[in-house]
Amino acid sequence: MNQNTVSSSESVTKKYKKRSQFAEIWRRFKQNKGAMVGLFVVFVIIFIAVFADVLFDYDTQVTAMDIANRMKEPCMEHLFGTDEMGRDIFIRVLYGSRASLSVGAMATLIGLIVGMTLGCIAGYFGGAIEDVIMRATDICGSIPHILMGIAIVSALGVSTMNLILALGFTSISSFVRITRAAVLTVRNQEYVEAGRAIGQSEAKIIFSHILPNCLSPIIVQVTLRIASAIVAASSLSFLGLGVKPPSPEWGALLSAGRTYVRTKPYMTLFPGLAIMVTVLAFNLVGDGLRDALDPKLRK
Amino acid sequence: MPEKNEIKKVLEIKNLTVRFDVDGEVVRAVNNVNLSLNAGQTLGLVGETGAGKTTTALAALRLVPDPPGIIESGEIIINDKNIMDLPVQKMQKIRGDEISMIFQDPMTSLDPVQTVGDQIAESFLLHLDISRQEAVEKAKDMLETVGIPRERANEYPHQFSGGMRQRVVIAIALACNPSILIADEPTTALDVTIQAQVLELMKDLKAQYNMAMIMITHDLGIIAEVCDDVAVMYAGRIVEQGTLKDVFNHTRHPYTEGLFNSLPNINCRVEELTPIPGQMPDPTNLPKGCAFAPRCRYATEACKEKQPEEHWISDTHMVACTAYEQEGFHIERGDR
Amino acid sequence: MWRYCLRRILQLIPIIIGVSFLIYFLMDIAPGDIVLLKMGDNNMTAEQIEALYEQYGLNQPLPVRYLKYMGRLLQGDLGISQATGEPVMDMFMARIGSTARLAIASVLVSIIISIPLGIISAVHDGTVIDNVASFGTLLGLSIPNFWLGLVLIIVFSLKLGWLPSNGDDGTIKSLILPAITIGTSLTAALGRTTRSSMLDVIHQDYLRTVRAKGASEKIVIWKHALKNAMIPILTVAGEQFAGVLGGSALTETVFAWPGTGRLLIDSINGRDVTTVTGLLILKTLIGSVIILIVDLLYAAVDPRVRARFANSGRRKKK
Repeated sequence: MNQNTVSSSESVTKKYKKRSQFAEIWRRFKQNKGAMVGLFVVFVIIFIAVFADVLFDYDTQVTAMDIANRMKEPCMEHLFGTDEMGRDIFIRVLYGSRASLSVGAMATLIGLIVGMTLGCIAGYFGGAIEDVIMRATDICGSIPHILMGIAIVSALGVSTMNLILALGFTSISSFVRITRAAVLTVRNQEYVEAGRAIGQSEAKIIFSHILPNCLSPIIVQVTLRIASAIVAASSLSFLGLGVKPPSPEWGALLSAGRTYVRTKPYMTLFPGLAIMVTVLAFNLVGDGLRDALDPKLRK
Repeated sequence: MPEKNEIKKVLEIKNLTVRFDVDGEVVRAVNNVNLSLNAGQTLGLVGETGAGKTTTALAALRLVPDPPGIIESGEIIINDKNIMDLPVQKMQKIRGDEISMIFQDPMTSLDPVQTVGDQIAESFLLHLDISRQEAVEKAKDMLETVGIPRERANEYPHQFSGGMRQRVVIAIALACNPSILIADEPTTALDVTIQAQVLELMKDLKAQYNMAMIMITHDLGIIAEVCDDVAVMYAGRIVEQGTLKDVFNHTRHPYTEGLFNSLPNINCRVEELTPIPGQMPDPTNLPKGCAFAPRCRYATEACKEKQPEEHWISDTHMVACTAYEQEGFHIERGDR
Repeated sequence: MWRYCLRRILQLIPIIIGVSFLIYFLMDIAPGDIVLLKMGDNNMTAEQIEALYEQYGLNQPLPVRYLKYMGRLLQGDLGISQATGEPVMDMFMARIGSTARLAIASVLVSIIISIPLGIISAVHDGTVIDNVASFGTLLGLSIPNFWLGLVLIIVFSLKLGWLPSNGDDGTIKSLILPAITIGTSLTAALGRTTRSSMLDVIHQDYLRTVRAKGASEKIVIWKHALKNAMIPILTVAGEQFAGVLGGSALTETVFAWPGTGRLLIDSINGRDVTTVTGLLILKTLIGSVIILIVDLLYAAVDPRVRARFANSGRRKKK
């Protein structure tokens, strides 16, 4: 099957093969019930995050104080109860998906773009440039991620933007390593040689031959990274080094709830559950994708 | 009890059928195989890759990986015990003690993180009631038996070459002096020069230990050199079986003929090779009739319709081919 | 072998220099340097401010200050905390014991649970047992540590009153909740590593050889397979130990554990730049050294690794 000879109909077979390859991956992914549930949950959370401002009014429902109703235990009216300012925790948790997801996604995007570029350069060109990139990656990778995040945020100042920058920076090293490893395995494949032989430019070779063939591990890494970035973001916010109150972010909600942990444990319970469910959903999808994209890894 | 002059049967496989359930498909690996092996006898099991030789051998040790492998039916009798009925612990006592196996690839069949001495000694410790020191001493003796200096017992597999490793594997298999040895392509992964040495060693040891042996191979040359009897397997069935002379000189089955025709003839270098056309049928989708019929130049409609029966040409020579139901049928390769 | 160790230690040096410079640089651009802190509300003249900068050496360029800092670091001097006036090194040493005990306890929890779990999961690959175990480890990975700590406090300290919720009084009792908190995520990660590492070896030919010898499944799995699967498991366990020793800031904060992680958070909140810098550098250093030690331990487990790095030429390979 791999010994396809070059023919005029190559592009046609390629297209056909690609589509069927995608269908095959989807078929394997569908068999994994956990991954399907995870995917559903991810979609629901993305939906809530995107339409949060349509569903709820930020000023009157999310941040407005209602002292008369403060610290109410969960009930029909306030599913998750209310906080010390009388705000509905259920609404704040749902709205919080916005901050948590966007921070997770943006940070991963930064890591992906920078890490993939550097990893590609290192893997494709090799030599001194690879040495420099990989040494730098080793250095950044050897600082525990959470410490690195703490250091960057405390250096740049506490803000959502800096939180994203910090988490993005810490995720670069893993993308560099994974991309480089993937590029190294395909760099010397015959179809790359063929591209070079017919005089294609380096950029064309990288974008049309190399990157498409190392996407699987990168896609999996993106999913898993979003999950860990969400945890990291909430951790830093919990420490007061991330999203600032009164913005509803899960870590910040937890931090506020912690003050009342003795008397009102529900205030810490629900934001944490939200983090757990979201992260679990992304992890399930990531695991399912890994198994579906590379069945060899499973057996 | 066997009579005085009767030769003792050490292994008998009756109606063995093994299938593998993989991803909802059923792979029919071994179909209704009958084999028997006498004490001291060497039986060659020939066939292409995927013919079911290794699965048959693994079944004899009850080592077919389950899942996905399932022994559907059949009896396997080792030294008068039907091992299909034995509890797992009893079976473990038999493995390595009464029946041993040598695997194809010596590069992967030794534990890389244990010294070769320990790996041989483990056999003794499992089956004999002896101390560790004694076992290690015996392991060193065993190394010498297979032609490796005893001082090398403390080395690890990666410090040995392929041929040396296969000697270690042989030492492990023979440690407890089993009555049956199954050698699964023991020389395929080795260099040609080393192949000859290892084969020679096995022949010597077989005589020395008076074992019965099943030699699994696709190399007819090895069969001719070491075997008394031959069974030819195709798509999970035995298609022809007999003494070396029966099968080599009085070939009856068209598939066996095809095997011989695809060998280069060293005496007649201008002769062209005639490979068997086509490929082995998909074991998930075996034809209703004879599995070889699609590739067989003698095939008739009857061949495609019904499973061939066993035809006994003599006391020792069996062929499973429907064509022999016609009077006067014979294949092109004459008696030699 | 010694040459290999030496080479690995030498390889660590550029990493240490890079890491410490990165942290030093980051902390240098952090707002709130010591002079501003001293200034407070006092109205100081430009000359007085200049003198203070002079006194702390802050008027020198960054590389010079970094080199001086590293020079002092080599002598075990990390400077004086702006918040407490104590040497940072002393503050660190006073708390590393608590952190180390927590790290050891957490990794023990992780190893004891995850290795059997991972093995059983791998042996029963694809069965209900495996699916339940795999989901459990994934769940463990998805629970934010600090939240789990809070939930454990709510349940076991506040509701049931069985265990203390904060502090380290030197007893096992106070160690239980924080160790379980950290241990849960470690167990999940190590369990997954064990499972995949065991799956890699479980279909290897050499296990068939062992079975053919007549060994029981117990010997096949726990003696032969596990020993071969050990390297990735050891690596992850070592990384985990290094990680907890260096970065358990959150759990330590939740449990008011008097360790180095909580000291770090307190120092950040107190804008104590000297202490933060010193702690970050020390923690990263310790982490790298532990990972190096684990790397060197491979050789003890795997003769293949040992052979690759042992002095070649002593004995010719046959």
